[in-house]
Amino acid sequence: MAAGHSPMEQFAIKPLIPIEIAGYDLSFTNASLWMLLAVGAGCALLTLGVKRDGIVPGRTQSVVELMYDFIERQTVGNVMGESGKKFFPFIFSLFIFIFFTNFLGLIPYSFTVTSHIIVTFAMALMVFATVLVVGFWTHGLHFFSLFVPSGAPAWIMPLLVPIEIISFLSRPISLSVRLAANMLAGHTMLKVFAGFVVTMLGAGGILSVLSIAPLIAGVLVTALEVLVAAIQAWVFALLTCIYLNEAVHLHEH
Amino acid sequence: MFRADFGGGFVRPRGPLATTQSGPDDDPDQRRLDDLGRKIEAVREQQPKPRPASSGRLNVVYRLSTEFVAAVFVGLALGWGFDALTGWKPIGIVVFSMLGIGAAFYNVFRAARQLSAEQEKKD
Repeated sequence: MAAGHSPMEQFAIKPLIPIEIAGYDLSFTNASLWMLLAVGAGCALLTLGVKRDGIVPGRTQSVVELMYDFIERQTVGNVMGESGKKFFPFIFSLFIFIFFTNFLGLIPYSFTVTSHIIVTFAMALMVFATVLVVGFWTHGLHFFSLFVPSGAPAWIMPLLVPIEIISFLSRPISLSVRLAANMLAGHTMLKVFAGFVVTMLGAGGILSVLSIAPLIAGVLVTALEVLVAAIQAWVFALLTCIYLNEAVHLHEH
Repeated sequence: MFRADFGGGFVRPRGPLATTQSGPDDDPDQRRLDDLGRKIEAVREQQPKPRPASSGRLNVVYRLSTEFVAAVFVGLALGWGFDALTGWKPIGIVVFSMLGIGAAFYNVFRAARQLSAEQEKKD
């Protein structure tokens, strides 16, 4: 593979409009651009979809209604029940944003914002902060009972409580690493297969003929990435629901 | 406005308009619609249930492994911070990383339980 065509090059952040305020680099980068595009595309789909609210939905309206129903009833409703109503806008916004950044990232020469752990970690911290605020808001100091497993003997508590706390603290990390690692691995894999096709074609002879194999693999990985893009957006939303549900109901479930 | 496209017959207006007209039993259009509904239902029952996507297994691998790694990482970070604050160099990292590994297994156990609960809901 020629220099400058490393499979990781696609993840590089390039400033488009350099901005520097008080010594901080606040440039408008390609990441900012694709985040804006994701927000714009999400807003456009949702507003266009409900613009003409027919009883028999058109194609765009069907897509929007399916997405809404999928998160509202099958995810938030399924996990949290009635108490999930207030959190639906938050979870749906998260889902739409991740969904669109993932899918826009699949377009060749675009940029996958969610492959950067700082972006996913910021979202995971937002979820974590929401869980803390909701937990203390509804239960006060009683929220700490989340760290005390019910039904365990008292002598084992000094061991179990730290484990529960570490497990609780690990949530934003696992939430963000999972999404970023999925996108990073998938897109690197795509680029590696695509690179193989080019080098094998260039090598000539039998290798040129065999270059069909990485091409097929690349097509299959693209299909898989479409699935992963949707599934990871949903998993993020689902786990947010599960964490919020615990904060609202503590040990009831 | 959208209903008009169907020439009135297919989609019946809901609300007070519908009740002023004839009942559902003696309306041929309504009967045809009900028949169609039953037919669709019958065909739908014969078809095999859609199976969960094949990437589900990969998804499980990612979910469980990140749960594990995250807890170990948090344990190590807490231990390192504890050592830096107290100066009891190896003790914090040893104790907290062990707790982190415990939390990691606990995380995986809990995630697996959630996954199997989801699976049961699907079936």
